[in-house]
Amino acid sequence: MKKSRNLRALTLLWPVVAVCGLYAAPSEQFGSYQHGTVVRMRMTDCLPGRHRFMVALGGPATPASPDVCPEYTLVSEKVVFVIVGRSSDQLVPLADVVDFRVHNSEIALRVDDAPRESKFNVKEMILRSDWDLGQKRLPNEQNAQPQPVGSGLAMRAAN
Amino acid sequence: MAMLSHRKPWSAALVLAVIPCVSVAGRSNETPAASFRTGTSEVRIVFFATDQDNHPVETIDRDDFAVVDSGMVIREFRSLERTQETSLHIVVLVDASGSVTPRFHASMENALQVVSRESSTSGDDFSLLSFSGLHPDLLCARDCGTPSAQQKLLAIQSAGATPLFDALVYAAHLISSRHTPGARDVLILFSDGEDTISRSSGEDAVDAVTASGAALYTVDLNEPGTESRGSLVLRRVAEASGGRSFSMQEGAAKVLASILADLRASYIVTYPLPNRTIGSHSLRILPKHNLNLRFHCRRNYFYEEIP
Repeated sequence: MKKSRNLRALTLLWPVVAVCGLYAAPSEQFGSYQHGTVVRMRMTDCLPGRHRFMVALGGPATPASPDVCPEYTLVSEKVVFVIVGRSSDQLVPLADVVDFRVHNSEIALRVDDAPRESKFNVKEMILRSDWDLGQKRLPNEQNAQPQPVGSGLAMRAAN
Repeated sequence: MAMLSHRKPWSAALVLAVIPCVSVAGRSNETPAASFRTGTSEVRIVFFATDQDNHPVETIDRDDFAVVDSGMVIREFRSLERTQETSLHIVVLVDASGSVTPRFHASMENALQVVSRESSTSGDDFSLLSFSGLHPDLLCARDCGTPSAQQKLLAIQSAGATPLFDALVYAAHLISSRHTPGARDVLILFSDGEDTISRSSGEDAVDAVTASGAALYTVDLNEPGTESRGSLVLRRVAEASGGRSFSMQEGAAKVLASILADLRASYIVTYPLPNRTIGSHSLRILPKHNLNLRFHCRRNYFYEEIP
């Protein structure tokens, strides 16, 4: 009798424990800090997220704003991450070195021992060696681009 | 040879890159004439920073910012120094269309305040133009401080459509054609930002203003607190040129004081051209540490090959 009461209590408690664990998990599961440098930044389309789905269902609460978010290329020792902010004004201070932690498809960034981290969605992960190879190829490809004949004149006419 | 310009080619007065070309010819008649060319390309960006209270920051250090040029983050600079510009070359544009009739008198008075205040205290160069109907009208150039010019300005009535973008393109050409070295080119626009009839697009207007190298300061004639499409247009065009946006309530004195303060707080940063892609290169300056700092600079420059 007592055993079955305990079992029932456990059954009732289980969802509570699970939900608490779910909320606590992300901050605990972010690993230790790594170091990296942001080498590229551009404004791009925001990644679709859960909150956007809710907004779409509920309709926009604020006037329509451009759906562009900052995208950063973060180079670490072994991996290069392309990360996207969650809003247009989520800027990263472009310090020489930033500390970051990775968890699933998220990166938490910290600059200059700031108490708060900024979380970004990971769009791409590339091995540093592959990325370096791609960077070496880039200038050659740019040089190989056919230039229009008299491009200077063409620019002038266009302007 | 390459040329990098922050003005489009119609105004060769300012270039962003210095490209020394060296030709070496044979010294004697016996040896065949040989020549070679060498050069370096450099990007020069004029900027200033404001703090969280929107006040210009007097002192900026190399470690305060990074430049994002066509997506590439640049932290190594060749030089960083204060600008040497000591005077202003100002073109004031006043929206005289029907849509601003309730605020037209006030905006014209503000524009006149700008002209008379600066004409009497400095040797700055002023021109004033209004726009309504189908085209902009140049009301005065360099003699805007005279009583007769001011009478002419006060006689204007607001009516008709709003050729805002055409007026910006016209003003951009005007200011770059009259550029004088050592003077900061500034456009001050009084408008509600609602274009109704221009042949030029908003993009054309932004391109023309940024290509002129002038900083655009806009004075929004819309009711304060209302986030209209026109207000957004004014803010974006101003930001794209490295200028700022103000509301009508802030008044002419505040706009002028800000322009002068921005001029005094301006720096020039130079760095090697990061890539030789022909055409427009996007630009941003972002803080390295303090996210409360906001850097104001033009949002692009043009790179082209000279045959």
